[in-house]
Amino acid sequence: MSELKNHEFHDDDFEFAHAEGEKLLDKNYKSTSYWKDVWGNFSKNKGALIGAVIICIIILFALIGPSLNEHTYKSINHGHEYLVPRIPGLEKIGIANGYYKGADQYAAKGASDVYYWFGTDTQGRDIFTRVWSGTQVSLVIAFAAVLVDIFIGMVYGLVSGFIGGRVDIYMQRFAEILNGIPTLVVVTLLGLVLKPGISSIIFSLVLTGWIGMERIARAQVLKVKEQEYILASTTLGASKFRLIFSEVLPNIFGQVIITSMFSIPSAIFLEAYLSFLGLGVPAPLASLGSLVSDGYKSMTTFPHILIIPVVVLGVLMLCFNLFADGLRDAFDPKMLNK
Amino acid sequence: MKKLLSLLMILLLLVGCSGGNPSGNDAPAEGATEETTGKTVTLQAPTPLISMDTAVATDGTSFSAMTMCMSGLVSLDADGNPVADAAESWTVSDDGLTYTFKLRDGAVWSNGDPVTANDFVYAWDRMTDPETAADYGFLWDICGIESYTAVDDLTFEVKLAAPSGFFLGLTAFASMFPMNAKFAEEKGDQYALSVNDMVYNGPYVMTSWTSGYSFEFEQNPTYWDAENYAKTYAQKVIFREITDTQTALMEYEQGNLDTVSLSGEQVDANSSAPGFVNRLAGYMYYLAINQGNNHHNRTGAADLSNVNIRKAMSYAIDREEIARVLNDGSVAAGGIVPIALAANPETGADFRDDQGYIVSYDEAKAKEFYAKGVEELGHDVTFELLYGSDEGDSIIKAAEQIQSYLEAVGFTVNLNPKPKKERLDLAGTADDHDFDVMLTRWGPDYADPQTYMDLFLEASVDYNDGGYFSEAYEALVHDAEFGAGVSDASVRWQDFLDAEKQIVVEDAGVVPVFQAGGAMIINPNISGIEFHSAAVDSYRHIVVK
Amino acid sequence: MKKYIFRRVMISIATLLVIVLVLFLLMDLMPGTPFNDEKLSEAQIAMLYAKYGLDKPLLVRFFLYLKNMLTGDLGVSYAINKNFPISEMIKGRLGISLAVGAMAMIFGTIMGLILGIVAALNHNSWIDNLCSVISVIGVSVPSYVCALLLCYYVAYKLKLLPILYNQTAPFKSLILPALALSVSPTANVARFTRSEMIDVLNSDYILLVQSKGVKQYRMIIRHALRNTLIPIITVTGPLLVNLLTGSSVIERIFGIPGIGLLMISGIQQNDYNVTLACSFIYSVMYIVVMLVVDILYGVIDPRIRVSKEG
Repeated sequence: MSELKNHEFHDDDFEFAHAEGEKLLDKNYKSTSYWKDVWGNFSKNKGALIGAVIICIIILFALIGPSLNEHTYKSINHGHEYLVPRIPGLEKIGIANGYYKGADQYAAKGASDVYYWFGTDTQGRDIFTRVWSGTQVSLVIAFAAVLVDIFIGMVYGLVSGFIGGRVDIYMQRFAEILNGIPTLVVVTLLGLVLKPGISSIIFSLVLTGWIGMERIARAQVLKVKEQEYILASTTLGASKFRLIFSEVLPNIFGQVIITSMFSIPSAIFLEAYLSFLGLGVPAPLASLGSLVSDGYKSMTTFPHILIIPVVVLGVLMLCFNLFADGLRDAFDPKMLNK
Repeated sequence: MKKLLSLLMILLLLVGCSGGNPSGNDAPAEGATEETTGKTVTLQAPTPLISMDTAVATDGTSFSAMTMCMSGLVSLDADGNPVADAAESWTVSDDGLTYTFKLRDGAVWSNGDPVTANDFVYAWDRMTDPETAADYGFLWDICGIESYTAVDDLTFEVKLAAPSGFFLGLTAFASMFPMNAKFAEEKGDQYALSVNDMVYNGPYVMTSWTSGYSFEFEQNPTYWDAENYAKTYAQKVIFREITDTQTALMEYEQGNLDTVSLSGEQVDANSSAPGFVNRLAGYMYYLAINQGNNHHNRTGAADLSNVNIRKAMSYAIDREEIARVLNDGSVAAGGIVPIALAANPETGADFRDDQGYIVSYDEAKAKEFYAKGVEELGHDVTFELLYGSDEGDSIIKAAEQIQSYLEAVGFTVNLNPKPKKERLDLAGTADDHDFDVMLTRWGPDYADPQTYMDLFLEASVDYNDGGYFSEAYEALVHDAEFGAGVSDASVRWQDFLDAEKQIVVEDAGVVPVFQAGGAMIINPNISGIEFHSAAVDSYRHIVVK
Repeated sequence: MKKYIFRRVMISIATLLVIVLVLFLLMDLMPGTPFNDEKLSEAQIAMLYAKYGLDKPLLVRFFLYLKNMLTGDLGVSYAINKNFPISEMIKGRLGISLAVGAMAMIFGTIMGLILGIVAALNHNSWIDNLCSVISVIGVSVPSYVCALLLCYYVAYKLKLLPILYNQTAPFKSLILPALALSVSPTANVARFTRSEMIDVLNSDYILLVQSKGVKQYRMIIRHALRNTLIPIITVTGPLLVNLLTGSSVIERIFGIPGIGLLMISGIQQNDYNVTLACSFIYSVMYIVVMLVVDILYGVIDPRIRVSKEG
């Protein structure tokens, strides 16, 4: 080290390392917009694309599924209770052939010429139709849950965490008070003011559904706000608004998306509880949540009533998550350069 | 180092949570003395025990628990006939108005105090005091009890205003049990809140009561019939509070329970299991139809005052099919009075058999009546069906079935499920009934048609939710209770038969749907559980093989 | 730091007071009456209101309640165990709920951390995908379905553990409920650990640590895990509150006398005092956990501490 200190540099100490005759050319990259980058990243992600496609298929089924056969979500087929799935074609290879515990349930109930693709429930209603019309309801709830998460939870957390100080303390106390009261007590009271239906479900989400997200967003902000690029941006005179939404937000968006995906099932099950209070979608209309909680009652006797909505919900969630993962990677500025 | 420290802190937080509650891990050890003498039975209590105070309890589980360890003047045998219990014998005056009960000499409470007539006077005073606001305080009016006195320590005399066919049986009901006056005064507010705050004069004593978990009984050595009990009946009876039917059934199949209630879903798979029974409960489920003048100007309710529309509703519902779908032991209603409630005073025939099934399913007739009603009203009928969202699966299923049947005839029915407390709120008070049609129920208070007939009188402001009124019906019920029926039991019987026809058939003022049942499995090794559809189930005479 | 903690505790106590007031107001708004039996007449209901002092003005009742609460008297139950003192009811049940909840949290955190770390270390491989699928299924299948599955296979078929809660063998009979409850925290923790871990593993300081030749497990534990903890604590905090205050469905399935079931019955039967007391316990736990979480932030990340004190 000491040698180096006393060393003096001269112009001829250095020379170009490239081979003689090589041409030095600047490469010109096409300038791409942020959104193009995002799309480019997203479309490269196979899992995310598969997820998106399956979500589209499920949405399609939710729209047309209920009208694919002659049953409606509330038509009761007397005498056809508890039938297991039976699908033409598949029955020949031994799956979904209407047999349960070694006996042909359809023959036993005098319904040999009928096909219930997903079977029937305890009252002889067609599960296929009910599951898809339930999916309709649950998709709306899922969508609402994500919107509430992002537009209320995320924004609240961002503002609270970034501004900090007194504002943070007050905003956090307010959230604490709201969340310190058990959700069930809050939604039970909604029964007083609301009519049953989708709007009351969304309203209860607005009241209680965003606090988890708010905490995550705030914690994320706390993590990134002390980092150098924020300091740099502040020094350059960026406004608070710009800092929050264009510097901090992209860096925490990944977490935010993942969190909002995870809040979907709890919203769907909150709906099932609301139905119990007479606040959910009015019976006999179903939702995935209420189908699951109804199916539970026959889980040990006729498991198909439970399994079908659980599988639909599981696949839907899996695809939402694949999709969200893709989005996360696509939005993450750190991923853009990879 | 600091990093390690912070990790440790988190671990401590987690461990602290688990370490901080040893009380949870080795929780109440009391009453845990396991005896497997072969004379212990463990029964499922599908609903929790709410109170052991006769003035406060209102539910079947509590009544059954009280009947285990307390004795009234009489108790019921397996067929529901009164037999001597706290009273050794009794005499009835020729006019049927004075009952003189002779109490057992030497009978004592479990703390050694003698059981005296004053204990009855004290308990009955407490029940009838308006300040107590006891749910069942009305029983004294129903029986027409004018006075009750302790003639001496062992003689209890009751005077009635009119002869009553059901008074004697009612003294076996928990609300009419005695209370140890001295002990109760001593305990004050604490009375009957725990096993240490009670004394017993029945065949069993309560040895443990953990709310939400279990309550247990052991034979009472001071009971007058203790010797016979020790020889014959189960030594220890444990009730385990389990509400989930699926885990309860698993527990039964593993041999840890001796009885288990089944849900409709479980019945088909278990109906051939040894010990499977379908018991009939007293609850009658019916549609209360808002037809009074006090219905919030509800459009649905206004149409329902049309008698043809109501008749259409009654004919539209296939009750047999609904009972089949519920599959939980419920049976189709034949009228508003349930099966096995009361017997003809002369022939002993059941009310339902005497009357026959006066409601039936006839889609063509329903459509005919509906068309007639619509013609009179000038428009189709749309209404809301109110029912309990938390009163069991069967109610929800029944409501959906009813909707389907009514819509098949032409009605438009919107379902309105509400938790019970809200449903009863909407059912309303004397002049405020905020519903169109409500699926509701009534459990009999005593073994007589009157318990149902009184409901739908104009004066019954608290219970006649639909506001049904018919002069013919009022006249028939009045004649039975205050007119010719008072002195002639067969006239009274006929009046009630006619009154039921009037309200159910002529006016379709209420639409009976089904009578609740309970499918269950009882371990074939035990016997002696007695079900009474119009009274409390008795677990006093359980015999273990 | 001490000054910060003290201030934070004071704020929490004030928040709690506000919550009690709000809860009290909400109870007053609850529809219906606790005395909702079909057989009670109007006059009797009025009598019962007078007997329990429910006919007094709201503010009077509130201050009476506060006064009694300070002496440990939470009133009596109107419907669930009629006339039973609520402090007694809760005493017996809280411990059990805490035990199940704590066990579930421990299971959930450990399994979640392992799943998440394994997934992050094998980012974008089939192991990662498998871990993701497991955690997604974990949140989409409700705990009561898991509970019944466990009951059926572990307890009923294999007879390894008791089906229902048993007072005489509490630990053994609480394992299944705790496992059923831990599914959702496992999924949540795994998900967050994974995504945080990936972020951290891509950061420059981990590159530095790696280039120094630090062993992998040491790198994960000492350097990576710590930076992933903040968001994980943020998710586990509220989860912990929900677990400790009992789950009514799990308690119903396993026949556990816990406070989750008590609270649901309180709400359903309009047993105001019971609902109020259970909600209060929930609020206290929530506030305490949030307090601890906030303080932990400071312990784990000195930068936050500095910014808070400043």
